[in-house]
Amino acid sequence: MKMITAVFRPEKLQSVKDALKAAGINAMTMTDVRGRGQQSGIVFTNRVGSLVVDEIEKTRIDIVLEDKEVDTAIDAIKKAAATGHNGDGRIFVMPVERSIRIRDE
Amino acid sequence: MRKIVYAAAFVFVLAFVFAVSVPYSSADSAVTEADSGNISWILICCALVFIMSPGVALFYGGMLRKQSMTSVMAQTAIVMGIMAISWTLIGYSLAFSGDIFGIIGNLDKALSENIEYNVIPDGSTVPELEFMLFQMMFAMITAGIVLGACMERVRFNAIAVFIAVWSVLVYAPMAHWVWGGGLFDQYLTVLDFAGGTVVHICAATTGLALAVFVGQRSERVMRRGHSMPMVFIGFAMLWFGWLGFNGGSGLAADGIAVNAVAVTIIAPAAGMISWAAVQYRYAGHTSALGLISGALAGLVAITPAAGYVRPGPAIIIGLVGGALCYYGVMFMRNRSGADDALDVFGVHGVGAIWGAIATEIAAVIATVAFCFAASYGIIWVLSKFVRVRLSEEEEAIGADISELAEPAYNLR
Repeated sequence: MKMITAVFRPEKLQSVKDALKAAGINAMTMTDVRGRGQQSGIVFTNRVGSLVVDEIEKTRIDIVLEDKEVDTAIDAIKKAAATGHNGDGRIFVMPVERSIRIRDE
Repeated sequence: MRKIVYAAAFVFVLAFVFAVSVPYSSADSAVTEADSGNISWILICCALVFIMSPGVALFYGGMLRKQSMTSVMAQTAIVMGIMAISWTLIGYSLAFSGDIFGIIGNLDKALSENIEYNVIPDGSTVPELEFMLFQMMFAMITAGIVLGACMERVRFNAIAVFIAVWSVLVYAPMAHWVWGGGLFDQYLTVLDFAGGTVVHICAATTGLALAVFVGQRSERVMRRGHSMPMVFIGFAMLWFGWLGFNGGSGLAADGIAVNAVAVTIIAPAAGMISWAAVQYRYAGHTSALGLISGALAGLVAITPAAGYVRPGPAIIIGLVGGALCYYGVMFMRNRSGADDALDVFGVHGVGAIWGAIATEIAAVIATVAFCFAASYGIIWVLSKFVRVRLSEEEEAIGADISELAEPAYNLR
């Protein structure tokens, strides 16, 4: 069992959700997050100096799924969230020890 | 069903034409000489119309994403400042002083010289400075409405220069033509009580020209409002201010003002109801934003007629205005291809055109053509000197930070 954490552009959330649903993956947690990547933010220059924005808004989703579903999910997310520019985000895969449904006795 | 709607609309149009063709006789209002009543009522109306401009900033800001809130407020503020100064220096004189070939006024009252504050001119009810001040508020709100169509794309510097030029080349001539003794005043019978043509059609068309010129917002920007409460507060300020906008346009504290204020409540109320009904039919639900848009459509539609129609016809104007603007907004969003960010043309344009259509179709066409062409021309020339549009990256981060280094919400 694995957990996938994907961080990507907020405006791509809908297409990521659609792509995952098409791949048969429904359950997930979505969070609005802020962060910075390899470029450590974006620099804007005006006439007197520059301004660094290093807290860029992203959306993060966490999905727990069976090992065999991981590659499908990664493909779906990559396809749906990519623009080809800096700041497209990242996907992390981690092992999960147990998954418990609260409703169950 | 559609045929019935069209037929009903046609009947309403006829009713409206009839309502306008038997206008309130202005001879009924006895007050012709200056008194403190007129002066204080118009001063109050100045204050009421003034509050509409900041109201517009909140109204529009709430409909955009939160990264654009500061930029709406800043752009509205600078536009208010520019219009006030431009009007004082030259705009008022060009619009209301003399007449050159029906095109434009002269410069006799430039720098607001020769504008008396304690003498009431012949045929007027208030001192000229008060009239100039009231008109200045209209100039400010008109420019504020323009912003709504091109928000989140146009740079602060560009909009500031654009409005400065526009105030002289587009707004002042429009005001002159309709109110100041220019073309429309001389050759057409424009029954435009409170400025449907100058303010709303002109603002909407200018906004449309800007929206067409700068193109759509990038796909990266989510098209979702961030604060309905903000929208509602702005809307409340707009409606509140509109009572002075229409109520003061007769420039007197008389019966016409009473009627104007009354229909300024009645028509938007009807617009709200009809928008809600149409939206319920097509979308399966209504919404706060829908009710607000319906009320605004009613406000815009009643504006040119506020002094002439009684409450009954006002209900009809409001009902038709609300329903028509729903279709107007749907068309602008789905079919037109222009990204009118905040439905300025859909609501102000369509509403005002409906409101003015029975008064004089030629004036409407001339206004639309002139304002679109002139505004497009100005922004085109401007774009040769100033970068007009936000870059994609600036847009994604949001103009608040990339242009003003000042996020609206950083309380954490």
